[in-house]
Amino acid sequence: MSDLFIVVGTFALCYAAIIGYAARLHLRRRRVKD
Amino acid sequence: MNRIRILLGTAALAVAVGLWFAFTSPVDRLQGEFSRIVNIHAPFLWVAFLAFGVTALASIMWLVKKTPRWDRLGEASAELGVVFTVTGLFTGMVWGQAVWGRAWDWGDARLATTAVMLFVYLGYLALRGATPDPEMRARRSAILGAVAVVQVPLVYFSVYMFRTLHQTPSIRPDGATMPREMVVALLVNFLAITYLYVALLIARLDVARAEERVAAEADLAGDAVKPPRLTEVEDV
Amino acid sequence: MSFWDQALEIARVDLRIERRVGDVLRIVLPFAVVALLVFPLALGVDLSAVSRLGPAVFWAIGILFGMQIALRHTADDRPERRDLYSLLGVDPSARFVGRCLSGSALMVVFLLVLLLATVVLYSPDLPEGWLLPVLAGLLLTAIGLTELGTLAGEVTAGLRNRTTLASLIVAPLALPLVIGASQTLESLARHTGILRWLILLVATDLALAVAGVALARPLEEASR
Repeated sequence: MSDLFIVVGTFALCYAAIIGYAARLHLRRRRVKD
Repeated sequence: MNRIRILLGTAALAVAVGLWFAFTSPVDRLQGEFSRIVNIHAPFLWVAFLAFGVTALASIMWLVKKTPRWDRLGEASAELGVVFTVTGLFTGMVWGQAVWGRAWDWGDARLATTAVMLFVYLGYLALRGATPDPEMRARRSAILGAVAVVQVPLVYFSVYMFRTLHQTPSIRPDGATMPREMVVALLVNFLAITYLYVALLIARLDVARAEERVAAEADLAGDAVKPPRLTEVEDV
Repeated sequence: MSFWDQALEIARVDLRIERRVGDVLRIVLPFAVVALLVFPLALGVDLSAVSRLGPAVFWAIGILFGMQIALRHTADDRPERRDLYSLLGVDPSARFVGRCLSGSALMVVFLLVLLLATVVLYSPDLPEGWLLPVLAGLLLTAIGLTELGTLAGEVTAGLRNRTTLASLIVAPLALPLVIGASQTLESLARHTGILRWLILLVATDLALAVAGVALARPLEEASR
């Protein structure tokens, strides 16, 4: 099942990167609202 | 702001649906679980190219219209382009290494062009980062975007010629015959990830507009006084 | 003054300055030759590999180091000079073409000397009738690289890390030149057509020329 682990890990890393980008955006937006 | 929350929320939902399809669809007999990766690999690369196209178009439109909205669009799309190009290339390398024992395929013209595109993006963003004046920044990055539009197709073409002459067929199948469920899963993910790009793009544009508004209000009194430049002197 | 008169005059002035205070032949060329020395030493003792890789190393170094020539400081690098040019009514496209003319001339000289050094140091296996196609490829590559470098140089004018940033911009976009130039020689060795590679180079040069001329005015405003 290590194949599936790698696949899930790949998906997770990619979406984590995208979520990370979105989170940075959110922080930037919050900073500007003040 | 609410509109953006809705957009991002529904995009996340769409991605979740895509994930469900990706992990419940049948797998390829030879590739096993690794065939699931195509559900994000192909859409990420598609978005990477789409984002590049948008940046290129925005650059040209800025040069024609000179309005800030095009500059904002170019910048936003370039940032997203980097994210999707990196993830697209990463998934491709994992897939390539796992299935064919090689992370990189020199015979694939699209792969090489994608790598070039990544560095064009990085150069574009580095140029923007190094130029403090907004007007100058917009103009210079628009010019770079326009040059890239001209050169990147040539890059693709040259690698394609290189590959066909060296007779290295691409080791990655283009559109191999897939069972219907896999095609459906791939399609769902294409739609979901494209929607995700659009949602993030709109969110990014919102941030850019808000930051510009704040910057406009934060001028120091001294900034209003600039030494005269030849182009501005009309009455000599 | 007509367009071509302007362009040629700008090229002339540029070359004159290069002759007096320039660093192309004094710095860039020696640096590139040093790079030629680094490769075989890094590759280890397999001398047959050195001969085989000669042409490839020549083009790689020629292009990576050659782009510095297009980024050299030229006559109109200072805003005051540019103001003077616009005051005199110099056509920005003529300025671009002029700079490309002088830059290409310098680039050709650079590549020729580098070619000589490569032949001497690497003893590459060169196929029959290699000289003319290689010279054609060399000329076309020089023009394209100069066009790219000039565009990148203008767009990064006055910035910190200008040379590195401009090189980052040029390098990925110079791929068609790398491929076209090196494949010209390789297909000669393999007796497959070289015409398509030369056409690729010509197409790249033309595309960049059109882009440069079309973008000349915004470029001029951008590089103040």
